[in-house]
Parts: sequence; structure tokens; C-alpha cells
Amino acid sequence: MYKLHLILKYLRKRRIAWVSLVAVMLCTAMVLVVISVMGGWLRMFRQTNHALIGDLIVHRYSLDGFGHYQEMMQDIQKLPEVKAVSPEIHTYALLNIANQLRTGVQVVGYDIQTIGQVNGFVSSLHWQPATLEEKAKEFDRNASALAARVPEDAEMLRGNAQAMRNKAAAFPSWDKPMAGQEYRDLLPNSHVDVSTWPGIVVGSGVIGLRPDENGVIERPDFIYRKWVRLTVLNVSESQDTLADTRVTRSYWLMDDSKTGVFQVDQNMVYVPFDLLQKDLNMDARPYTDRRTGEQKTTFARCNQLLISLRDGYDMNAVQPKIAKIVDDLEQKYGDLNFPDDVIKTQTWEEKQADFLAAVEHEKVLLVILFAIISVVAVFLIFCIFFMIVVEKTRDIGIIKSVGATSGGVAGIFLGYGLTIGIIGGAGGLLLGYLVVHNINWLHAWLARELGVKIWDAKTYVFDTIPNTMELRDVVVIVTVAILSSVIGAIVPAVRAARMNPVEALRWE
Amino acid sequence: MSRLAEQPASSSAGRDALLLVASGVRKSYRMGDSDLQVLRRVDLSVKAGEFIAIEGRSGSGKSTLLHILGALESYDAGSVSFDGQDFSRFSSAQRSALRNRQFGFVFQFYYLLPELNVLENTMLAAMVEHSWLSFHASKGSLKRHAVDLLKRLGLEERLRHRPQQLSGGERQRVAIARALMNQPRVLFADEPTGNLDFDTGRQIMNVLERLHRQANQTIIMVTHDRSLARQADRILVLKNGALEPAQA
Ligand SMILES: Nc1ncnc2c1ncn2[C@@H]1O[C@H](COP(=O)(O)OP(=O)(O)O)[C@@H](O)[C@H]1O
Ligand SMILES: [Mg+2]
Repeated sequence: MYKLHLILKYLRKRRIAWVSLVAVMLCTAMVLVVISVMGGWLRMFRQTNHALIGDLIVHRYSLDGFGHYQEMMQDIQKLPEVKAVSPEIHTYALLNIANQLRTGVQVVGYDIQTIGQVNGFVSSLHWQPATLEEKAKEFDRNASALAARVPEDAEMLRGNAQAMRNKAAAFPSWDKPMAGQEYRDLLPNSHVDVSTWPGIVVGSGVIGLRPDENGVIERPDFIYRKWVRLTVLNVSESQDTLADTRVTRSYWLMDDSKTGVFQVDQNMVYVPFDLLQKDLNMDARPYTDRRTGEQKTTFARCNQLLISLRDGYDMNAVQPKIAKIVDDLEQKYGDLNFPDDVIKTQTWEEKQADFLAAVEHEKVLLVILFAIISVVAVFLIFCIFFMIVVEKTRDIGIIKSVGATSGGVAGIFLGYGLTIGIIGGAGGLLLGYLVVHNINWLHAWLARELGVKIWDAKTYVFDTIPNTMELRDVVVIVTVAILSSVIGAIVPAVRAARMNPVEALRWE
Repeated sequence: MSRLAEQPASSSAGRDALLLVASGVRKSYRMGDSDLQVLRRVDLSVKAGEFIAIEGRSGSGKSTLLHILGALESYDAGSVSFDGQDFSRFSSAQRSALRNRQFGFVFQFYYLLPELNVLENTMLAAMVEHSWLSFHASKGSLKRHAVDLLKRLGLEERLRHRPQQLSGGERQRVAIARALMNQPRVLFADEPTGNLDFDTGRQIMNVLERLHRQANQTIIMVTHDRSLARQADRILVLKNGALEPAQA
């Protein structure tokens, strides 16, 4: 009983105890902030990498890609673990947006019907069903406001709202958001029917969409009315090496994609799979064999197959099954690849292993940092407690003279450490929580007021700082803070417990 | 816990029963290369209800003897027993229990805890004795007992004061209240008036005297003031490391 009582009294009356409490609090808060931001970053990094690929990938390094992918897809799809398979083609291209922006980009051809079940592409789009529904509602609201005064306009707005809803229902698709006439009106002098141009999705960074301080992206309406010309180099297996292999196609900019990965959003544009396949001569097409004069058909090709699994299946267990399907088909059709450029079947983690490994090293660094801070906290508590024990020597003698046992005296100081750990840890948790949850605001404020900009999307991949805490991290960190405080108190507590009461009483 | 601790305070029968017995107690302190012999051969028998005064020059070893008798300090040879039980058989926890329940100490320099107020200082022994739960269960009666003690010592107006806010005499009365809290069977007082002026010292002596006469409290008091020692039943002098009866 006297323990609890004395602990509380000491805590209130001893200013030095407040110092150790604040020290524990600051250490806890600091570690929480660093671990949460870095840990959050690691999680986001993994999540987005996963979202870019899906669970598994079949791919080949060369842009030539591989054939018989339809058969491969059918076989893979038959595996009970597999949820969906989607083919993908990628290449490099020159992009021209309405003669206002010309830049080199990476082009990805997606099969919009299946890609949504495989990776996160669909949810990276801006004109998602939710956005469309939002627009529809706005049209409806405006229509109601106009209904009494200008019934025709209100009717038109209702029509627009319906169009939005139809599009949302049909999603995902490559359908352009506006009616054909609107596109024709945009380019009245054109001698072709421009409304037949397909839609293209561009990475948000390609057209310079950046979040402001609050993380909000302003999207001016006009960007979805721009034409786009995309020039690719086809990779036909043409024997005529001097042939001009450039292919240019016109599109309408229909949406932007924000995966959150800076390098991806900055460089990628997305077009329909079949169009890109055709432009790259990767579709099935007839040709004449020069030696025999035989009429043959090339087989259609793609660069990658993206595969997602049903819930509860382990991708590492499924990987060999898919690899076997791929191998079997290679056997069946003959291996035409270069020896060191075989078709690989990998999990998304294997594919991104280089990135992920670098990131794992950061984790080790964090643990070391954490350990150092804990040692500092232990040492600090030790010093302060040692001072308190020395200062309180006579009191220890008094307490022993009225019958406190050595264990009881040790208990006072250990309890004291524990209390400081608990209060400091709780305070640190609160402080850390406030900092982490307002970190983007704080960062913006620092940048504005002091010109300090620490977080740059170019280096850190994401344009916002992770601002969530993991329960597991919190539990571990606060527990370590409390333990550190108790450990720091152990030596002083033992010293106090061992004290001879008479010598303690005679202490000057 | 010791068997002693469980026994009620009145277990040893009669007024003449020997409560505390020391025989052939020797104590020396190691000072560098040589030993400083403080107690050479101390024999003492204290009956229940006795008031004993021990005199002696400064540095003669009075405090040392008192600490040994009060189970606060170890000794080199001889034996000390309380209620027929030898100290040497007690574990450290049992000695703690003995100090907590059977003994009370009053020191020359009061030794109050500066962070606690008068009432809390008084209740210290009770706080040490009880667990958190049992303390709270009996808090009311313990508090009443402490307030009662302080009232008898004229400190009822000072319950919430801190030691720093009290005069020397008041502090020593708080120390006496603290020593009496657990109704000890022996009260040890080490020059309780040594730090006080004459009148205040007299008041403290009156308190002890009253305790002895009215409550039959066993008291062992150390002093170097013969006039104060006169109140006691028996006066002993510590000289050359041994106790001898005082000449009148
Ligand atoms: N812990 C110790 N170490 C060494 N010498 C001590 C110690 N405690 C007391 N002494 C010595 O023992 C002698 C007796 O001390 P003490 O019992 O305090 O005498 P008194 O109370 O009669 O004045 C003194 O000479 C003192 O210096
Ligand atoms: Mg002395």
C-alpha cells in the first residue's frame, strides 16, 4: 500500500520524475511516428506493387512476347484456385495530346473485361462508377432546380444523368464518356468521323495532375475533351528489316489512372488490348512463307498474363501449377525463345523482388533505430532513478525502520518506473497519434512556413505520407517503452533494497 | 510471516515477564585496516512495561546498541531475543515484520517523509503492514486511530500539514505518533529531545512518561541528559562498551 502511495506522491512532487516521464513520452512518440510512417510506407509499397500486377504473372523479358496465350489462359483458368486471367501487352510510344503535350510514354494494352478482376487498374481510374454516379446526382439536382423555369434544359440534364448511370452500369469498358456528336463538334474540320476514335486512359502524372496540400486533385473538365495521337513501333517478325514499322493511332482522352505509384502514374498510358495488339503486329495475321511459298498465319501474342487467385489460396503453392501449364505448352509448340529469355511464371513478390528487398533493408534499419532509442530511454531512466535513490537514501532508511522489506522498497522504485512507463507511453501514444494523423497537414505547414519539404513523391513513390498506425506496432512500441522504464529502474531499485537501514538513516 | 507477528501483543504473561534480552552483545565497525570496538559486552534484560534510560557520552555506542536491540542492525557476537525468540533465527522479512508490528522508533532528527503530510507520516507503519486491499478495507478505523493518537499529542490542527511546516517539537510528536501507530510492544527513543530546546524537550518527556504510566508502554530511551533520565524506572550507563547501573 505504501508503495502505491509513495509512488504517486513522488510522481507529483519530484520535478525530476516529470523529466523522465517527458523523455519516455517523446521517445515513444518519436518511434511511433517513424515506425508508422515507414511501416505505412512499406505496406503501401507492397499493396500498390500487388495492385499493379495481381497475384501471379507469366511474362517474358523481350517485347516480342509469346504466342498461344489464349490456350494458356484457358488451361490456367481451369485451375480451381484461379479467379481470373488477363492478357497484357506493353511497349513504348510517343504521345501527342492535342498538339499541346508531346512526350515519351509506356503503353499498356489491357483487356478491360478481365483486368478488373485481376489487378487494381479499374479502381485507379477517376471515372469510376462512383464518380459517374456523383455526376449523375449533380445533373439531377440541377435539373430539379431548373424544372420550373426551363423545362427543356432540365430534361436535357436528366438525359445526361441517365447517360452517366448507363455508363456506370456498363463499367468497366473503353466507352468514351461523351456522345458522338460532341466529339464531332470538337473537331468540325476533320474529314473522318472522329467519334469512332477509341478511348485512351493516361496516368494522372502524364497530364500533370498533382494533389494540392490537402491531397485533392483538381481535374479541369476540358482534359476529357482532348484528342491523343499515339505512335508505336511494331515488333512484327517481318523479314523486311528496312520497312517503316511506325504506327500512329488517334484516341480520345477518356480517363486518368492514379495507382499512387509515382513512376507508374508519370509514365503510363492505357489502351484497349486488341488495338495495341494489332498496331504492334502481334495479332494473328496471314503471311507467305518465302522459301516454300506456303500461306501461313502468325499466331497472336501478348507480353504478359496477369493472374488473380480466389480468396484463401497461397500464390506460392499455385505458382508451380501454372509454371507447368506454361512449360507444357512450350513443349507442345516448340521452344522458340532465346535460352536465357524463357517465359517465367512468378508471384508478384518474386517479380518485384528487387524493389521489395531494398525495402526490407529499410525495415532492418528501423529496428536498429528502435533499439538505440530504447537503450537511450533505459539509460535515461537509470540515471534519473539513480539520482532519486541517492537523494532519497534517508527516506529509504525511514521506510525500512518502520518495517518495509527489501522487496517492498525495490517495489517502490520498480513501480515508480512502471508508472512512468505507463503514463509516458500513453502520453507518447497520444502525441504520436496526433502527429501521424495530421502528418500531411504538418508537412504542408512546414513546407509553407519554413520552406522545408522532406517528402517528395519522386523519391518516396507516393505523393501523400502514410498516416495510419498499426495496432501491432502500437502494442509493441508502448510495451517496449514501459519495459524500458522498468528495466532502467531495476539497478537503482536493487541498490535501494540492499541499503542497510541504519546507514541510510545516518546519510547526510 | 514470523510467529511473533501473529501473536497478540499480550501473549507474554504478566508484568515481570522478560520482553527483550541481550547477552554478551559485541559490535565493532571496520575502519580501514583496524576494527573500532563499539560494544564489547552488553547484557540487558527488559521487562514488559519497564521504562529504561541509557546514558553515555557522545560516541559511546548508544545509538548502535538501540539499533541492535530494535533489529535494525546486525551484531558480531552474543545474542538478542525478543519474547524468548532469538533474533539470529529470524529471516530479513521476519525482522522487518518485527520492526513493523512490535517495535516503534523515535529518532533525534525526527526523520519524517517530506512528501507526506502529518496524517500520512503517522500511518506509515500501517500502510507498510497492510496490502492495498486490506488497507482500504480498514482505512476508516486506521485513520481514526491515527487521528486519535495525533489528538492526544496535541496535533489535531495539523493533520494536513507537511513536516516542513512544523516546529521541531511538533515534528517529534508526529514521529512519536508514527512509532505508536501499530501499538508496538517496545518503543525505542534515541535522544528524542536532543534537537529541541529545554521546554519543548520537557513536553516530549512528559509525553513519554504519560505513555509509560497510563498505557504501561515499554520504553527504552537513550539520552545524555541525566535530568531527563530521572523519569525512567532504571538508568543504565554505556561505558567502555558495556552497560552498568548509574550511580545516584
Ligand atoms: N557505520 C559505521 N561505520 C563506522 N563507524 C561507525 C558506524 N556507525 C557508528 N560508528 C562509530 O561507532 C561509535 C558509536 O556510535 P554511536 O552508536 O552513534 O554513538 P552514540 O549514539 O553513543 O553517540 C562512534 O565512534 C561512531 O563513529
Ligand atoms: Mg547517537
